[in-house]
Amino acid sequence: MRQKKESLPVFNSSDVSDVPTCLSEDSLLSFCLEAKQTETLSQQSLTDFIVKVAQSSEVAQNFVTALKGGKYVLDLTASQQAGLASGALKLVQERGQVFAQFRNGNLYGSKIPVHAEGMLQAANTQQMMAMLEYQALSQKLSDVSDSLVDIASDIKEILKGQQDDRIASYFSGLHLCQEAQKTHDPTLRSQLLAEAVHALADSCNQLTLKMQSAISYLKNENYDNNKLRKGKTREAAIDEQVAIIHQCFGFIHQSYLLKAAAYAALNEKEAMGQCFEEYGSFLARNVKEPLPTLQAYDERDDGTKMSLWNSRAALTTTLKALTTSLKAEPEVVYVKIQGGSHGQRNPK
Amino acid sequence: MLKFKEAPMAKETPSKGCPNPNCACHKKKRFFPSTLTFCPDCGEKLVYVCKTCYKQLPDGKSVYCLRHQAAKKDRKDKTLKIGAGVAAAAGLLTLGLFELIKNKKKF
Repeated sequence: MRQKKESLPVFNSSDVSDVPTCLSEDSLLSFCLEAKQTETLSQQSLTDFIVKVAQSSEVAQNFVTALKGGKYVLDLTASQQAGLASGALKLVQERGQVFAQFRNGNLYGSKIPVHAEGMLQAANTQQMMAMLEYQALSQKLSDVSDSLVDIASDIKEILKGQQDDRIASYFSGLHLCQEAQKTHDPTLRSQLLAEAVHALADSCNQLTLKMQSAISYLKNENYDNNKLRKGKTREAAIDEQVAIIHQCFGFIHQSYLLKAAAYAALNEKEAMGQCFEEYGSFLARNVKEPLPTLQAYDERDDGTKMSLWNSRAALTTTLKALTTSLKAEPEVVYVKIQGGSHGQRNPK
Repeated sequence: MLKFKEAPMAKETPSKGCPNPNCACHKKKRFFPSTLTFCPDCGEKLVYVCKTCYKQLPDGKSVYCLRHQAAKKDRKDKTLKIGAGVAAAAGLLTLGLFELIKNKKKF
């Protein structure tokens, strides 16, 4: 037995003659919006349209049940079915259960259990339109979020590429230095070494800036900000920055030493001294100054005098001594030889 | 009527440790109270250390090093998140139960 809570108007097929035949969700949404704006589409025609497209569209399929209203099922025996046409019906509620009773004159008959099926209340046109809009909008939003995830992964790739470029520059300098050592032609050798120094200087400066940004991240406690740590835990964000610092420091150290070696091979003593001086100033700015920060965040550093970052900071003293000795005038030692015949060998 | 006095929350106090790497106390990562000044084993001046990783701290203002302070905050956040989830679920369950009882009463 079917019971309609709301009387729906009769559909007129002529009203929906201008309805688009494309059944995608986008077209449904645009069609509904247009209808809403222009108010040209009546409730009947829209309902008819939805029923029409229900065969192929999942969105509209959901509304068909709603349109048909609440559906009650009666468990009837054969004798009760026979009296269904003539008897009046009454619904009774007892202990949470709905029963149907047929009236025979002034008396009601036996209670027939009733089960409710489907929706009790049919959705109206506005609700249907809102649901259609919501479905289409949620689809659009999921598309936008997908594209945002793609962009984020692209950015990660770009950042990784930049870091790889810096490291590649260091390796190019290293290989040029090695090749220059095997070269016999002095002109080619000096050219190769000059190229190597150029590549090493580039890599060194870029890595220094990267290291500085990682140190400032830790110093300013940016990991406390959820946006800046990009959804990671604080510990993970700190470990990531410390790993960057270690990587950068390793390559910078090697770059400065290789540069000094290249200058030594070119017999440029002053440039070599300058290189060491630069390295000393780098250590003073980026290791000695933020030493408490580096020690506090690095898991490998135990804070003792001979710890990792303390020994790295102590390099500045060694470099200073080295620079001073390189800049100093060569000492002349006068040797006085005892005996009468100076510089002559005694004949045997 | 008997009144029970509430036990005070255990407040974490900074601990000291021996900085001498050759000392047995350093190797075993033994903690000392902040009132002690020198190591009872080797006589080295004690320093404030992190309670988790035994790293030397500059002063006795904090119990943990900065890294482990951050880790502690992470754990706190996680607990709060789980707590909020459980509370929301419990709220929803209670509401559902209320609705169920109401509906039963109607019939």
